[in-house]
Amino acid sequence: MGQGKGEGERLVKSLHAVFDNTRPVCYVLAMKVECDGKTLEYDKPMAIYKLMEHLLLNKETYLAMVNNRLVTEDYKAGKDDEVKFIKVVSGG
Amino acid sequence: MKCRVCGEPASISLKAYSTALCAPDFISFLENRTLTTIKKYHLIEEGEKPIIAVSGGKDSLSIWSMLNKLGYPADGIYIHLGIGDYSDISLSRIIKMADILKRKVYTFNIRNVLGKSVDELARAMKRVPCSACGMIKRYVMNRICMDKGYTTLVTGHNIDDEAAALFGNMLYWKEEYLGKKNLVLEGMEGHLSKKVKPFFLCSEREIAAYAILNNIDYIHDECPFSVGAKTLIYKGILNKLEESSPGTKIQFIKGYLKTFAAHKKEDGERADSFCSKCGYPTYGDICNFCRVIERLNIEGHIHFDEYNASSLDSSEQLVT
Repeated sequence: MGQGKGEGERLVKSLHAVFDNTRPVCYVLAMKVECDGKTLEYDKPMAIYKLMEHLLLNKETYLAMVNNRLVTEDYKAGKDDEVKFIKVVSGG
Repeated sequence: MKCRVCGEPASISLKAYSTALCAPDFISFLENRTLTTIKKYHLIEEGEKPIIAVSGGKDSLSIWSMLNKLGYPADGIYIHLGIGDYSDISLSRIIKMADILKRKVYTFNIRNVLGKSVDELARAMKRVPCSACGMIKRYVMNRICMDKGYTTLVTGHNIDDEAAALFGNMLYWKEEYLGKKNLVLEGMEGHLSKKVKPFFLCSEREIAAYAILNNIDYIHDECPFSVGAKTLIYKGILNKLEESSPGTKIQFIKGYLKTFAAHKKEDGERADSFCSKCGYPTYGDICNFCRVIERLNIEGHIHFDEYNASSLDSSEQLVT
């Protein structure tokens, strides 16, 4: 009830991925994003600047790394990528 | 984005300069800019013997690494403030860098020397930890230079530190501090070491990128006492301005330097008396550090632990 056709199909596909014994189980279903000690998951590719807007991160305050490589804000991160935002501000 | 120099995928965009650079070209860019700053403002000159004030963070470890790479061999000085794991982890990062650079690092452990950690000392002084920390650092950094023959104290202060401090001083119109910040603070023979800030015109973001791209293992954690500090609030505000108007911070600081340079000759206000105990400049008869030591009956003898990863002669002079 209330679920669109697309969402329903995605759910069925995920369940198949988990319970289908004929192929290896893949646990990487989404792009992992680490920021300020928290880990989030996104299920669709997204440009770094979009992610930063979504997470309300200032582009002067954070650097973005994808799979341990420094990238610019226009880089499009995919579902198997591990994105990490590094806070650069320090001092007191 | 593509690197403006070589056309390869860029690692960092620099909106203040309307450019983007790949890892090797960005490293060259920041090193060239720092070298230009050192030469233009006469930060480290021939025959001088610099020492780096290291904290284990990105700024101080980056400047230590960079200066040694650029032909300015330098040792390090670390003040262990006794802040639990934070101080120990910081020291481990510094020792690691000393090993890589094959340089010497001195450690002043305040608990061993003064019998108290920085927060205990601050409580005894009825001050906040940051105030006690600043006082100890100013004294100890000067002391290492005087005792061990270093002519120039190098710190990792960057444009964000300077802009935030300037912003704070302007907000509250602390006229006594306005105009005092600069890339070079000249020393006083036998009393005060020269202090220089080669990263004065580099941003925290650029320095963090430099550290990451050079695999510099720095401590990411913040000092636990910096939580809620006004400096961090000012940095946040300035970064919001910078994000919407790239180049704001550099304009702010360069404008300040221009104004400062214009008024430098008029501003001759400096401590002209010396502490009767230690000989360092002070506005009274005795400096704050010596007053605290006396008031709290601390009898610790000032000494430095020494970690020597150097294969070089310790009396080596800078050759440029």
